[in-house]
Amino acid sequence: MVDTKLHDEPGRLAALKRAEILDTAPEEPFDRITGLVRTVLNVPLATVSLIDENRQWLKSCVGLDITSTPRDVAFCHYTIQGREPMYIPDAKLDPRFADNPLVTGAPYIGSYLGIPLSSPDGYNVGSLCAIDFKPRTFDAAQIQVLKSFAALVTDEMELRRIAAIDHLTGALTRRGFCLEAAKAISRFERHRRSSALLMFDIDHFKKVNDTHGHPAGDEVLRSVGKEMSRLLRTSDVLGRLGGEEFGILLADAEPEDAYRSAERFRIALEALTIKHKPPIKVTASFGIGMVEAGGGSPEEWMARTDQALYTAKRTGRNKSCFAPVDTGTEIGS
Amino acid sequence: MSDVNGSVGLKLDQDPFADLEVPQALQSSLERHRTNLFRLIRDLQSAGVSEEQIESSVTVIVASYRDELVRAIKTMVR
Repeated sequence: MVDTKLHDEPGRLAALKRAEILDTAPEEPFDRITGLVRTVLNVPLATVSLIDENRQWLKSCVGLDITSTPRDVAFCHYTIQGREPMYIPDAKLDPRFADNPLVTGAPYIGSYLGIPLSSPDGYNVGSLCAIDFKPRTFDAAQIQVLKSFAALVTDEMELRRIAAIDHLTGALTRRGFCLEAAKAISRFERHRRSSALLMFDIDHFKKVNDTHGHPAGDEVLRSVGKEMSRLLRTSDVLGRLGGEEFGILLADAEPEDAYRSAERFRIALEALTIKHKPPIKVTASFGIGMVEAGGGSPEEWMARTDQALYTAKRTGRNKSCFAPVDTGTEIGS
Repeated sequence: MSDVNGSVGLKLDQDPFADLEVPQALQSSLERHRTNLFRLIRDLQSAGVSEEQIESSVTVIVASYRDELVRAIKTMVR
């Protein structure tokens, strides 16, 4: 029977995107596993490699200081084409790799063992790799050990994804959102692709809770999350940053686009009627912050945008304001 | 769990996640992780890895997964 998912590259890339892991910062759970692979299998190099459209990106790499390679030279590119481990005892003797620049040049890969890492829906998104700089054999028991470690990597990826979702609103958690913001900063620094951060806060939310009770407050949060998800493009990201505060990352957005979007969202929330007896109406205040060169961490970007949100609150609520960049520009609604 | 012998197996029989109140939505992930952990122990034993090395490896993995699990639980019950 043909394994169609092995040949469905768009589906595979979509699964990789859903994993929300590309271009994220190093994380201890993955580094611990690669560290153990290195120790237990006695290899100098172990990686968690993910195969993006045109590159291999390393979520974890112990033994070498690199984060990516072109896809066409990645051993992992071959590993993900099957379901079974890929084992190369001597790379110079394998016609697929004898002329590979990672074999003929630094880091001089001599032997390789890789286990495909599958998404929950069965797409191979990457591999767990044990690499030696000299030819060597891995026996069946060692291959089985790496398979078991690969299953643990998959466990971590799944749990990490679950932990990134706020289950009341369907938005990312603050932690998940910060990881996405870090990716937007990285995109800007590498490709100058602008992104905007919108932060909004539901006006007088405490009053909703005090007047209608906390279940009604939860319903408001749920409805706001649902409405925002409906309005966002697939490339945009919604996060619940805490309490009644949300964040939106707008990909490829210039300041005018960001302001227009913020206003569209604000007006949509103002028009929203939340099902309750009696029905509840809310408004929200928006702060807008553009990604900046040398703008620092996601937390700094959020702090800057939060100032704009505070300005919107302080100057009357139910409006959108820009974060001060150079001149302290403010555009009220 | 019964297919694992030795001190590491006995240690894991105590269930390192037993003190956590795990929501239903996370139960299958946790169960899968338990199974994978026991497979790893079995495979490490088959590969001739020392009990000491197995125990330290499992301790690292359990602690790491536990941190993530607690974070996921907090997210779900918020």
